[in-house]
Amino acid sequence: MFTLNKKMLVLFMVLVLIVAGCSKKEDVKEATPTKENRLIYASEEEFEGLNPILEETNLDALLFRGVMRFDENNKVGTDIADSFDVSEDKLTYTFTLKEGITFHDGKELTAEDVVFTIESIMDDQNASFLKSDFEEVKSTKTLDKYTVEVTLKQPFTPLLDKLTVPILPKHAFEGVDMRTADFNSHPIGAGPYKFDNWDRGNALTLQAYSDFFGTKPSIEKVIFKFIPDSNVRALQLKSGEVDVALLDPVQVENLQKEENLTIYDMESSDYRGILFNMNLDFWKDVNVRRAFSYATDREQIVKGILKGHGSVAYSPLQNHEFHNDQIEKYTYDVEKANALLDEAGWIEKEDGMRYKDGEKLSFTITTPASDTVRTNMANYVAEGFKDIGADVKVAALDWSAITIEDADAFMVGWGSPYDADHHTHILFHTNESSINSTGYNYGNYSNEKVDELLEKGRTTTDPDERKAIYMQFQEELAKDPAFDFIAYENAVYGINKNVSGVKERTLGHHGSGFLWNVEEWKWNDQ
Amino acid sequence: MISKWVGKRMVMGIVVLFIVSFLSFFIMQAAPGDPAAAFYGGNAQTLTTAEKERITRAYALDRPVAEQYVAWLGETVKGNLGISSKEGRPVSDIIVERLPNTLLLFSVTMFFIVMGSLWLGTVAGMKAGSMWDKGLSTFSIATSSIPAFWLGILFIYFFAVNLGILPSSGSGDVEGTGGVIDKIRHLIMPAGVLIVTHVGIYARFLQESIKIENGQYYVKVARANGVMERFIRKGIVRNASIPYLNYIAMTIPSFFGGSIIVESLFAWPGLGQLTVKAVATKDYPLLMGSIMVTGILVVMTLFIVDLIMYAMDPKLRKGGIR
Repeated sequence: MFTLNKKMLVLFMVLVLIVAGCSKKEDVKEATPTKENRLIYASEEEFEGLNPILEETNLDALLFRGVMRFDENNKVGTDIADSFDVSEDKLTYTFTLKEGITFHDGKELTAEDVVFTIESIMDDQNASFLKSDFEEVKSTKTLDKYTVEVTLKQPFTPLLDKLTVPILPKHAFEGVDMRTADFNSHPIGAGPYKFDNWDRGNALTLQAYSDFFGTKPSIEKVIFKFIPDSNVRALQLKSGEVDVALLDPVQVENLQKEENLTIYDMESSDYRGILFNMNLDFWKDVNVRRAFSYATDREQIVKGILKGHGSVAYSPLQNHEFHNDQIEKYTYDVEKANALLDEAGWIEKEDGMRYKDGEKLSFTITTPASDTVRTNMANYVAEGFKDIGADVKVAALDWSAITIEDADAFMVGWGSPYDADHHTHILFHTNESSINSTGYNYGNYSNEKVDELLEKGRTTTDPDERKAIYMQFQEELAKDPAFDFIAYENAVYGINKNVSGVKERTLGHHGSGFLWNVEEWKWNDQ
Repeated sequence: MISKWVGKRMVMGIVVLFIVSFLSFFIMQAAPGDPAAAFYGGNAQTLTTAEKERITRAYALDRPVAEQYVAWLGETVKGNLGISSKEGRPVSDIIVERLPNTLLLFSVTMFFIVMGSLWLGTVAGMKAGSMWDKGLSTFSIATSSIPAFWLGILFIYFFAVNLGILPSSGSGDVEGTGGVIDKIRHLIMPAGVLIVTHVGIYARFLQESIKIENGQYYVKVARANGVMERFIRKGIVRNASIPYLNYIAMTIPSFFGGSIIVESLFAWPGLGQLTVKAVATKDYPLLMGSIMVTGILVVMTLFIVDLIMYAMDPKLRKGGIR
C-alpha cells in the first residue's frame, strides 16, 4: 500500500508540473533578483475592458490623453490641442492640434480621431456612460488634418472640461462593433504608458511609451495587480509585494507605523448624502427636509465611520474654488429638527413616533450593499432619526436591484473636482429629471431659482461672474435642500517611501486620479 | 459489463447537467435585479431609463425566459457558449483562461486531502483510544471549524508579511515570467488553507469507519487465526474505504463552493472567482458557461470516484447494491 502511495505521489507530481507548465507560457527567464524599475499598484478589481468611453478605469490617465487635460489644481488646459478659439456667440470652438503626436502603434493622431471619439460617445449603439457630457454638442467636424470644429446647441462653458475625454484611434475600430472590439482588451492610446500584457485574473502590465509627446516617464513599467480583498491589499503593501494601494479608513492607523510607507490622506470631492425623492409627498414640505438635515450627526459619522479621514458636508461644491461657506450648514441640532417637524404638522404620539393625518412618519433609505461605507452611514442615520420620531428603515440592495427613482430616499454619492457645472446641473436642474431626460435628477427636485442659476452658470464665461452665480446657487440649494449632505470621503493611499513625484490634488470618485501624473514619478534609487 | 455500467453513468451525467442548466437558468432569471443596471456596474448610478431599455433589447432580455433558454441550449449544444455581455469576449475564451488554475488547485488539494486523511485516519482508527485517536478527533473539530478566510489571512500574515517567503496573491509573478516554480509557490497558500480545513474531517470519517470495521467478527477471526497484521490492516482499510469514498463523493460539490472563498482571498484566478463575478454583474452568458463547466467537472470527478469504488467493491460489480 505504501509503495503504491509513493508511485502515485511521483506520478502526481509529474502531472502537477505538466498542468502548471501548460497553463502559463514557458519562460526560461526567472524573475531577476535586482530591483526593477517598476511600480506595482494594488488594484481593487479587475477591469472588464479598457475602452475609456465604455468603462472608467485607473489606467485611463496612463494609456490615454485628451484634447484638454486637468492640472494639479484641477484647472483645464490644453494637451493634445495646441490652442483653441471660441467664436463670438460662444457656440463654435475650434481646436488646433499639436502635430506629430503618435498613438502607441506609431500612427499619427489627427483631427479625425478627435471627431471619431466624440461621435462614438454620442452614438447610442455604444451605450457610453459619458454620453450626457456631450448632450450640448450639435456637431463636430474636421477642418483640416489638425483642426477640429465643435458646434454647440447653446453656450456651454464646461465643454473644455468634457474634452479631457481620452482620444481613441479611429483606425482601431474600422468595421468593428465598439462593444466587442479587440481594442477593449488591447487598448491603443497616446498616453505616457502603452499596453504590454494582460494576464487575466492576475495582473496587467503597462510599459513606458518612448515616443510620448509629454514628459517621458521614468518608471519603466506600471503593473496593476488584481487583489479583491482589502485586507490582503494592506498586507501586501506592508510586505512590499505592492508599492501603492488605496486603503480602507480602518487600516490607516496600523499602516501609518510602517517605516517604508508614505501615507497620503487626500481630500476628495466625493461626497455622500441622502437624496430626498420628491415624488414622496412628505418631502415636498421643505421643513421636513430641513428637519432631517438637522437631525444628521455628521461629526460622529466622520469620526466613527470614516475614522477621521473625511469632513462634514453641507454643499456639493465644498472642496472647490467656488465654495461658499456662508450658507446654512445644518449643524446637528435635534431640538431645531423637532421644532420644524412640529411646524410641519407632524405630531408626536405616545409611541414616540410622529403622525400626520393618521400617517406615520416613516420611510426607507435605499443603499448599495456592496458599498459598506454608504450602508454604514444609512444605518447610523436611520437609528439617529428615531430621536425625532421618525421610523426609518434601511434597504441595502445590490446595484442591479436598485431603481433610484422608486426609492423613498437614496444614499447618493456624487461630487466632482472639475468645473462647477459638472455634477450640479445634471443633478439639480428640473430638466435633468431622470424620467424624461438623460440627467441624474432622480428625486425630481425642482426649484426655479436653482434652475436659473445653473443655466446662467453654464453660459457665463467670466470666472468672477461664474463664481458669484455658483455661490448663490449653493445658498439657494441650502435653503431648499435636495440632499441631506453627510460627508466628504478622503482618499487615503499608502505608497512606498522610495517613490517620489506624487502630486496631491483633490481627487474624484473613490479616490480616482491618484495616478494622474505617474509619468513624473520615479524611484529614488534608480 | 463495465462498458454498460460506464454508458449508464454517462447518460446519467448528461441528464444531471441538463437539469443543472435548466434550474440555474430559471433561478437566475427569477433573482431580483436588472441585468441592464448590472451591466453599468459601478456606474449604475448614472444609468438612465432609456439606456436601460436599450441594453435590455440589445441582449434580448425582454424575451420570455423559456425562449431565451431554448436559444441558449441550442447554441450550447453546438458548442457555442456565447459572448460575455460584460467583457464582450467569447465565454469559452474566458473560461479556458481560468480552467487550468481551477484544475490545478482542485487536483493538488484533493490529492493531499485524500492522501493525508487516508494516512491520519488509518493510524488513528487502528489504535483506538491512543493519543493518535484522541488527537485526530480534536484536530478535525478544530480545523474544520476554522473559517477558511480567517486562516488565509493568518497564513498571509505569517508567511508573506512576517517571514516573507511566500507570495500572498495571484497565480504567478505579476509579469508572468516566473515559470513553474513560481506557480507552485503561489499555489502553496491557497492549497494549504483548503487542505488544512478539510483533511481533518475526512480523516475523522475514515477513522470512524475503520474503528467499526476493526470490531467486526471477521477481523477477530483473522487475528485469532494468526493472519499477519499487515494483511488485516489492508483488508480493514479497503472495506472502510467504501463509505469514506462515498463521503468524498457527497462533499465534492460543497468543496467546490468552499474553494470560491479561498480563490477570492488569494486572488487565485479560477472558475469560482469568475462565477462570483458573473453573478455580481448578471453576465448571464458567462454565468451559464461557468456553471456548466463547473458542473461537468463535478460530474466527472464523481464518475472517477464511482470507478474507483466499482474497482474496490465486488458487490457493485455483481450489481448487488444500487
